[in-house]
Amino acid sequence: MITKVVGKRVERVGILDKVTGKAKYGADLEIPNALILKVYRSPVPHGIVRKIDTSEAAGVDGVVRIFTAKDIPGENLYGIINKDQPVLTGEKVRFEGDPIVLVAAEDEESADRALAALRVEIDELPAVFDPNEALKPEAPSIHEKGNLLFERKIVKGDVEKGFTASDIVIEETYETNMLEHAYIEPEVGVAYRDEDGCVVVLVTTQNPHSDHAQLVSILGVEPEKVRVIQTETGGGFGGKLDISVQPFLALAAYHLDRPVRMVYSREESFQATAKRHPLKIRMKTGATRDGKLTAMKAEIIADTGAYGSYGIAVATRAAVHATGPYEVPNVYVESKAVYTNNNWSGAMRGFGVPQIAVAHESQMDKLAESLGFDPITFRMMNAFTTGSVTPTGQTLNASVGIRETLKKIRPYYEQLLREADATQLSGLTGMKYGVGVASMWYGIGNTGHPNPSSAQIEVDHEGNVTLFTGAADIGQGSDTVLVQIAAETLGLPFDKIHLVRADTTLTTDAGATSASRQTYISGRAVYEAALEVRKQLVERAAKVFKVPANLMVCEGGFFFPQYREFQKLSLTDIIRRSLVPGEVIRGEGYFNPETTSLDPETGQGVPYTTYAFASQVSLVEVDLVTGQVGVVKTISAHDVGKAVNPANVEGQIFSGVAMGIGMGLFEQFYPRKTKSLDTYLIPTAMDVPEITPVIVEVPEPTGPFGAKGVGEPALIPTAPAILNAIHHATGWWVNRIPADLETIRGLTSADEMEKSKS
Amino acid sequence: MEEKLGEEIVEISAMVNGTSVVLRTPANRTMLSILREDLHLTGVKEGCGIGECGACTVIMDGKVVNACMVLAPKMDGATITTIEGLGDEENLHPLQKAFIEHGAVQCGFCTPGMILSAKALLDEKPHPTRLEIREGISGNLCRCTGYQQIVDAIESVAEGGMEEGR
Amino acid sequence: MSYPKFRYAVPKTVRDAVEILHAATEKGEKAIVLAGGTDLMVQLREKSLVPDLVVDISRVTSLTKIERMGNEIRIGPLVTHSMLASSDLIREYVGVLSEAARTVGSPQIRNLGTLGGNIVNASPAADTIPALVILDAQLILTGPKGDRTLPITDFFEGPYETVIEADELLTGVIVPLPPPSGRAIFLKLARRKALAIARMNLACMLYYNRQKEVFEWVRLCVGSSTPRPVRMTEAEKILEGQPFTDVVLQKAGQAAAEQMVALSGLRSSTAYKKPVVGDLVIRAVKLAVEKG
Repeated sequence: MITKVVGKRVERVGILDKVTGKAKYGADLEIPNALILKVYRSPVPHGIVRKIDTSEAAGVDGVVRIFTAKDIPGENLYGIINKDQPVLTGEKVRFEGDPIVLVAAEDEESADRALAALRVEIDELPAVFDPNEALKPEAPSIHEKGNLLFERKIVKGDVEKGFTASDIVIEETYETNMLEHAYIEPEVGVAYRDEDGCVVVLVTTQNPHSDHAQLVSILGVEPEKVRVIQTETGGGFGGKLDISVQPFLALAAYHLDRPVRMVYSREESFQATAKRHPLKIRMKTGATRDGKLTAMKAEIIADTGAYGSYGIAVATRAAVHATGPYEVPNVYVESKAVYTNNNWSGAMRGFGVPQIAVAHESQMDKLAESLGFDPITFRMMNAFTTGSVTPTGQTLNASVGIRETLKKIRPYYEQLLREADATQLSGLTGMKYGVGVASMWYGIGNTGHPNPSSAQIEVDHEGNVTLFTGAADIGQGSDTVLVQIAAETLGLPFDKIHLVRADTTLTTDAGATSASRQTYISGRAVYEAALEVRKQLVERAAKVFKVPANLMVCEGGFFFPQYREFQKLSLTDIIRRSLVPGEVIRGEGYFNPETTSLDPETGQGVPYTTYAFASQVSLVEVDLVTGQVGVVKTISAHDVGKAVNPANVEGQIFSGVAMGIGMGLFEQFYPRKTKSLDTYLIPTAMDVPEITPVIVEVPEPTGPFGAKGVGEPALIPTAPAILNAIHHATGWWVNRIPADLETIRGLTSADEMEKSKS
Repeated sequence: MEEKLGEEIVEISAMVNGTSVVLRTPANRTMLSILREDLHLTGVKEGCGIGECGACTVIMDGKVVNACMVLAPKMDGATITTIEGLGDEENLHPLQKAFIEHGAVQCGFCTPGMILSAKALLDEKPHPTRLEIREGISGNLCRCTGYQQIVDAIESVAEGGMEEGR
Repeated sequence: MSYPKFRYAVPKTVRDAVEILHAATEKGEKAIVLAGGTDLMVQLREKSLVPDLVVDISRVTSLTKIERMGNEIRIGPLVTHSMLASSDLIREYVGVLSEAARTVGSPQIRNLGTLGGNIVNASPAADTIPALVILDAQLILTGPKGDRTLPITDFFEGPYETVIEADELLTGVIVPLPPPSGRAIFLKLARRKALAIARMNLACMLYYNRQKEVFEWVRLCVGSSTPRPVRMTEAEKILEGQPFTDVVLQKAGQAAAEQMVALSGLRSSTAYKKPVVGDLVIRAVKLAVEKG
């Protein structure tokens, strides 16, 4: 298919404002006369709130109002999947940082003084920080329903029979790290009541329509009394899916006759928002001597911390993806999300799949090594292909690009092996070089849940074309991609389309910017809307030319009857001749990919319509003396269906690799200890190597122009590829991330000890 | 020596983006808050407040600094350039153009600081290697881009020369 | 985040600065010295430091110089890490200090942070301190009664603790020119490759006599490993007079590790740091010898 806009590296929507500093993020909005909001948070991880004395704080100069749980007019409970989190807790605190009191003051200093003047008495309860401990009957109960939030089972075939039929079985335990999203923009927003009494919240978010629904419930008002508008958003990575400042802003704006502003400091952003679930994974994998996977059994425990957030989704995704992109006839997975008194874990780029990939990709390399296959060959022998059946019993019918990605990285793999050997010879004593491979699969969209998006396109009588989408662009580039899809479908130039996005009054629900779903699902909704508009335009044009509509051609923004291109009229010409002032042509688009809910006992079903696939190879250096590991080169091949904007796809790949390096090597959030970016280290430009992105396009029939998604897939293979490369360099298997200084040096020391004995 | 040691309110006179600025302010503020709140230069971002993220990078007397690490009175007598002083849509600086061309921007929150670090680097070292570019922007954290398109953008300006933009 | 309220003074001379500090101290006030601000601004934000008075010495121009005077280099405490990294004088005569300064924080932090600040803040992880220790640097402290000079190793009492009085100012760092035969190395070990606090750092200078095939002299200091910066004298003694062999190096590494544990006691980080100190010492000595 020849395309004019789709598949092109068009200039990103909004980039001019970003490079000139004019883009307005939440903290940049000037709202005259706004009050400052601040929250008092629990200093203890578990306890009962006995008494809240606000009298002294209320008397602090500049303090306008103090709110507690009893000021919440609607339901004081929220949560994106299961509601278990209070906006302001009046009874129980479940982690160090639980919000108790909200202060509105004239300025920051007064607000700070008021916080210091609050007297909150909390009876501390025993706390539990380890999910395994939390599951024991004697553990302190964090929520009334108990500490097990959710359990997901996947049962396919007979796993024990599968192991019996295996020539080799490898069983290992893996542990992954708690991570902070560390978007560079902390949470922020402003709110006010407009002339109609509607509470308007302008906020950094990746989920405006969900924010809206939750605020409506918290305020107990009609839906039209709340409006959420996404501001320019400085990154999200899943951390801005849950509400943060939204309920505080809405609550204060609801009660007060003044606009309000709330800005989280970096420290508060760290303390008060979701983290990546740390996982403990026990995985057992069997294969035959000739290299065929026979069975896989996994037990997964995810620490969801004090609240559920996306815990259910994470436990489910980890289970569904636990085999990796390989056909395994016999599968048994038990995956639990467990409450503890740690910071709550939620969504973060990949929802449990980056974690489980550490396990399945380590298992693949261990099996390959034991059976004498190179890592690519062994993966190729087991990788999904069209017609393969997944662990949930789904038959993959189209767009299964995993083998193609493996083929693409093969030559790079061979080349890096040679480089590793050559560098080894010339390198400093104590340095080791190794090459590692990892693959992944990732279901696009919500797991086994309806997952719709909608969009509208309007053409007014002057020929202005406007795309309305609820999709929040948080930096990943959905604005650009959606406009490209609209322009391509309408046969218009890219810059002809005006965009209105992520405003709950002006746009309809496009679902969350998560699960790598916006290009695929919202893209398809935009495509449908554009087709509808195009159809109407063609009909209008046909009337202008007085020919049947099926004889009209629409190309490059022009309309003409078949074989009469010399008579062509532009979109504007057609519009002027056929629309009266005030009349608009409007197209509605809707897409909800087909899924079925997973069987509660066996996990069987169709969780996603389509999957992204990827394979990656990395060259790493390991300093045996210091324990430092560096990634020297990475090549990452991604089957994205169709790259609507190759520059964006590459940007996601670079981004994912960078984040994966932090995850694999040094990022670690310690609950109650990690305060800010001085101790939570994310990769700098020096820590990220030159990356070669390889785009593979195996089209997805239900995707717009064949597109799927790449945002999360980009991250997933990185950490396991690093671990496998460390093994290749040193011979050591590292079964936990981050593979930090202490871990690697510990292995050196153990090795030396071993050698000195023999 | 006068009875009262020091002042709570100070007067600052500085050259910001080519304009002379005189203001009185409590001393216990940062240059970051003066630039953002008093001078409305909101292209200077706050990401951490402790000199770790680089979102508040500005050029002060020819050198990049974290505006959050500079006590407001230290602005007195200084020449300061923020992203707003580098170029606007009619007259983009070559680095701004290059960032657009290379898609070196995602969420954009680190972008102003990143561009200023790149400018200071190229002012000092017009033809850096890619590694030197990485070193030059190592004080500017970006969580979105993985840095590669940023390095590409800066390298393209280094190769093409940026005389026209200076 | 609001910052604590304080008064601000900006003296132009050392004499004024010391007078202000002295007067404030006499009144029982908490006065703090502001140089580059990279440590201070964080402490103010955290409110771990709540001063009555901030004395900004950054306009005391006499403290910004790098000069060679006879057999020594005199470095003003307001010299920034960037200036140390790029100064020809520093690079030529005491390159190890330049190397150390280059590894501090980020370009932004190096442009602000000063040598004096790095010393007086007395973080065990300070990058310039091990370099100054092996260079036998002397510090000049100026108080109301005049100057006193002391070796840098006598300046520190523990992590973030020094002998400086509340009304004293660090006014000079004197670095004697090391013997031309000396070869120096600075190594920094951190969790990431830039913008990082040292997990450990090490400065080493030595003269390996190739004719006699022995180490004539060795100076070693490992940062972030002992409560206050010291020379790794046990390892130095083992190397001096001995040939460059694996056995000797191993012994020296072992001695450094043992000295660290003797000074620091067993801590949760010892399991990591003990073997690494030893191996880092070996690596640094090898690299210094390879320098010719």
